Amino acid sequence: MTTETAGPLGASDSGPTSTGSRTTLILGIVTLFALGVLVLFGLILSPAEENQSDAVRIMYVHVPSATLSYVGCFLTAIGSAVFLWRKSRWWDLVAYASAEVAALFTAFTLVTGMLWGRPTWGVFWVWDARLTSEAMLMLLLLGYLAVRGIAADYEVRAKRAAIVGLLLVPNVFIVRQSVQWWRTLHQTPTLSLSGAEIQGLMLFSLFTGFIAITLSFIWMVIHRFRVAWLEEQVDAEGLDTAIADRRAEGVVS
Amino acid sequence: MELTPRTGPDSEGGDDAVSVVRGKRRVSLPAMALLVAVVAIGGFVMVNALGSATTFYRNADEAVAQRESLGVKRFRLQGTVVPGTIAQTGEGVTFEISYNGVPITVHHVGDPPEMFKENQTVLLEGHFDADGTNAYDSDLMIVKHSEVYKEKEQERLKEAEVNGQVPVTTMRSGS
Repeated sequence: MTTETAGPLGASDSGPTSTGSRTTLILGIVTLFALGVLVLFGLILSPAEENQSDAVRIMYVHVPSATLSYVGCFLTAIGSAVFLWRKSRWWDLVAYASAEVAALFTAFTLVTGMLWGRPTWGVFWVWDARLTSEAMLMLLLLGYLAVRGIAADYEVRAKRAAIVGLLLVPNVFIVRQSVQWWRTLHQTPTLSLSGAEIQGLMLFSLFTGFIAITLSFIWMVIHRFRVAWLEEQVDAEGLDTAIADRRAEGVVS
Repeated sequence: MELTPRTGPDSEGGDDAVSVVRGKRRVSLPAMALLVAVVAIGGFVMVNALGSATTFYRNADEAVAQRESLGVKRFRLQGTVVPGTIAQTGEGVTFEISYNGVPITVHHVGDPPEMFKENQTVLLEGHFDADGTNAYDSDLMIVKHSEVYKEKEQERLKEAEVNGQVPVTTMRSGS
């Protein structure tokens, strides 16, 4: 399928013509390999922690997925800003794809956080500033997806969603700073510019977590974007056909 | 994709009919319901956030300083478990916590979390005892953990170097 039938907004954009490509196939294989390495180091080779024992292993997926959910929110905000500025359908769909993956990663962060909290803190959930602001981020992402789901003209929908998309950035900032600004149960960051409070194989396991989760994020956003792009092409093509049909009927009657 | 019926009352011209419908805002019921639900839950979360985030807990020294005004009001208390003070009771455990050198005796009802031990920072939910002393009755204990992670084995090796033998005791308190 080609992109000659791109809609009124995206006529100048070029996009994917299929959901797969050789490059992303290789990316997918590398991602699976990285996830395998993460399992090896996270569950087998890395040692138990002094206080937390084996519960610490949840960190190797919890921290990277939280970080990548922030990245997803930033990408959505960038896509939203470029859409509002240039009316680029390509960037709007980047924002959309990224928001959906960010929502998935935020949900994963919440679930792994709760599973980590129970054996260490003794509770699944408390309403401290970090957990509460993270819950708000999840709701904002769901709000973004809900706004997109409200049936309206493409440009109207995308514009509404883009405004919600821009709100993600302050929310991410609040989540990130919550442990510094307020008293929280959640601990402060382990990795910072001044150094890491984690060493050796545990640090390396966290590193493999970042690699594997980052690759997964990239793979998911690219594929979600392609599906969204192709859906829009089908929609636009369907509309063109319908208009052509009506024109033809109009001529006959 | 939704489009107009081909023989509708206002389908005079093909182009016009299509563009009118495209521009019209149709808000579907499930989407509206979802939006309302999200806003409602968001409001609930916001209220919880503003209500408890700023003073999520009081440190032991602050709680003692505010002893009068706190009365038997429920609040969260933070402190570090003082070594040698943990004792099992019939209904739970009693111990001392301290923060900035100010101690509070805690009577906790219920099983403490697995990571509860000496020198651990804990968050407690409960209130000061009704008898007017600085004793604190707690019914929920949450163990805080720091952002510092240390390998278990490495610690044992370090101790082994200091003591000249591998320690046989586990890290967890058995009291």
